[in-house]
Amino acid sequence: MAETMVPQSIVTDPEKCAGCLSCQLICSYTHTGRFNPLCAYIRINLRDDYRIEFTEECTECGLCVEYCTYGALQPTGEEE
Amino acid sequence: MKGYAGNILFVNLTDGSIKREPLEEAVARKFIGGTGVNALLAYRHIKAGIDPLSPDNALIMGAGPLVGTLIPGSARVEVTAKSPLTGVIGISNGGNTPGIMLKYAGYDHLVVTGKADKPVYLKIDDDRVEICDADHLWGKDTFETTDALWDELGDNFWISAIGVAGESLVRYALILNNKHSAFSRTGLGAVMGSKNLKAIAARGTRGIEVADGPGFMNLTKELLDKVAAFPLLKEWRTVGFFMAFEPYTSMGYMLGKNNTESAEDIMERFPIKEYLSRVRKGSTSCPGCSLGCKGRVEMQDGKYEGLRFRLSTPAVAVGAFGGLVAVEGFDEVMKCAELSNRYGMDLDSLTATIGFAIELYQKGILTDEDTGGLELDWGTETVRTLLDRIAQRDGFGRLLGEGVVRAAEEIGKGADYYAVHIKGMDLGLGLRGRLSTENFGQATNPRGAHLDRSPSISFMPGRKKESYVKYCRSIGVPEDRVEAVCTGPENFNVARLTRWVEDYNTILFSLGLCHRTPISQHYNLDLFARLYSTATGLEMNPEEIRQAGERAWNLSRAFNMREGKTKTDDFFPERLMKESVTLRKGEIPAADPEMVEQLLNEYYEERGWEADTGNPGPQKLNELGIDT
Ligand code: SF4
Ligand code: SF4
Ligand code: SF4
Repeated sequence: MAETMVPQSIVTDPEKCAGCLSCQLICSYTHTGRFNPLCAYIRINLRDDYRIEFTEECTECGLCVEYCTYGALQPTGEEE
Repeated sequence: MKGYAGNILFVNLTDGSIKREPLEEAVARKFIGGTGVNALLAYRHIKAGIDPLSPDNALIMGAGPLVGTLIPGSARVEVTAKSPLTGVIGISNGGNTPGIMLKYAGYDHLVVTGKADKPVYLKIDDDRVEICDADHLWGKDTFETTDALWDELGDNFWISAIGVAGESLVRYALILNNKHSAFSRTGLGAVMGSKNLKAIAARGTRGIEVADGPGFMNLTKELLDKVAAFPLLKEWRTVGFFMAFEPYTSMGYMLGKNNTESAEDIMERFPIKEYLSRVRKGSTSCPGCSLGCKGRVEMQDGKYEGLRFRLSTPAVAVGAFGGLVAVEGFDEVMKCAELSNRYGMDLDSLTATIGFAIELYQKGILTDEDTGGLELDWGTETVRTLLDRIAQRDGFGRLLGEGVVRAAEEIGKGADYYAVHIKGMDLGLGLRGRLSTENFGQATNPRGAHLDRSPSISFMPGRKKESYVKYCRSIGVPEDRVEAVCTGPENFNVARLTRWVEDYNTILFSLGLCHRTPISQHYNLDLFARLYSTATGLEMNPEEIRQAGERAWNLSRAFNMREGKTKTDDFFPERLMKESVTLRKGEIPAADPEMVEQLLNEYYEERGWEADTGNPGPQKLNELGIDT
């Protein structure tokens, strides 16, 4: 499994994550051509605390931030 | 065929055989997926007259062609079997379930038959499908089972688990997914229990491809924008289904104490402010949904301070525990909800059964001898005691684990009058007073009194005729039926409209979409057709799509007819046709049996079914191309 990394341009707030997986869906669709959450470059762990991680393949394209409507992913510097 | 995974997985637990068959294009076109293909598989693989708790029953999981995409609300997966509670087709729909992973792994449907000779769980890891030993899980609750499997397999497996209630064959046992999302209704957890199947764990990494990516994403974006612009989005996300309490209680649809009295005080007993400050910590969403109407409970203080879990519909828990059996306060209601999820029992049928027992005890129909010395009264104490006993089928709990119809038969002494149900399924919404398609549809829903297949714009009174005409066109009512459907004092005929609403909603569910209004209001039949073709590459016009819904509905009805059901099984519960109910604004009279009969006649006529039995009959099935 790919190593994780910390993106410079995205701030996460797992407390706000609802587990909607929109981030994984848009990431996998855009970068692999298929809706495929487990192959996305962002990982959401649906076990209890909805931990958020990025894999080193993440290009910081920002799409996941755009599709997260729950405030769990925000651009650095613009977080609430 | 894009959009679909393309395969059906068959697992026989008796001989351990596992096979894959392609999902044929002709079947996909005729039944779409999810609900529709499940109905076909149920009709084919479950013989008439079998015992639902025997190896002959089949547990069928189905994910429709939009499931697993980014279309708002496209997470809804359906499980179908013969219901141990009702003896008719058992259907349960859930949002955050391994059914989605099943599809990512390459299967649209899973059919489990037979019975393992010892506890097992089913592991689906893309192509690798295994029946694994579950001795170490048997006896554990749903949360413990799921945690144990996550420890064992890794936490990117998604898990369906049963608890002690499923093992002990409580007839309304549920299947809990990822520790919060339930296949609640019709007792399908007991079907798993009867097969010695403790859990299903699935992980899929093949993903889903759509046929016309740009077209599909344009529709997705349009829909996401509409959901984002919905004025009550924030309220739905935070308050959720509590939003419906005011209309439900004031119209007498939601009642307390075994449906005998008004539940209008429920919002005073369970203030929203308190819910938001002490109980709710955040939202939970089904995958691919930008609404997130589900809850994350974290008790901030009080007796259960620190109690944390996710719960699909906290408001339903309040209505059921707080209303039907009068549990006191949020703390006790949330504890009861957590326990019923851990044990794996449908809280609606659970509270309906407990309420039924309390009323019978208070009327002297059940005595201390029957209850083993338990004194039954409304409120927390009785409910907590019975919750444990029912799950374990201990003493008096054995009887109540049978559900209201069987319990009433065993008790005798006129107990059946107090069992408020249709086709063995306890009532979801009141049926006295004003009828919209939502509550009337409980009479005609093949799985018994449930309302999720018949919501429509008729729920709110006062709409003009033009609204109904426009709505009818949007859901595919043919021009020559519009006038007959849009007549009456409120500009709609509830029986006739219900027929078309059911066909339409069957497509919604077959595609894998959510029926909650903030999501479903953005869809219509034309859009279904466009979504279907951009996702799958198969062209179907709106009328063909609508007819696929009608086909699935008729086949589910034919399943029930084969079990010996007839017109009397569509009637409202006797009690609701004899007793009125008093609300603050006055009395709502009992439903008039002649009116009910008239409505059923109109409904059958609109469906083209036989007038005296409600049987679709060979001609109708033939016309729909159903080969029985
Ligand atoms: S920033 Fe782009 S590449 Fe990185 S996880 Fe988000 S969507 Fe994927
Ligand atoms: S889109 Fe946001 S809320 Fe949804 S799973 Fe991703 S981080 Fe969580
Ligand atoms: S509206 Fe609620 S139940 Fe429906 S898909 Fe979204 S989160 Fe799930």
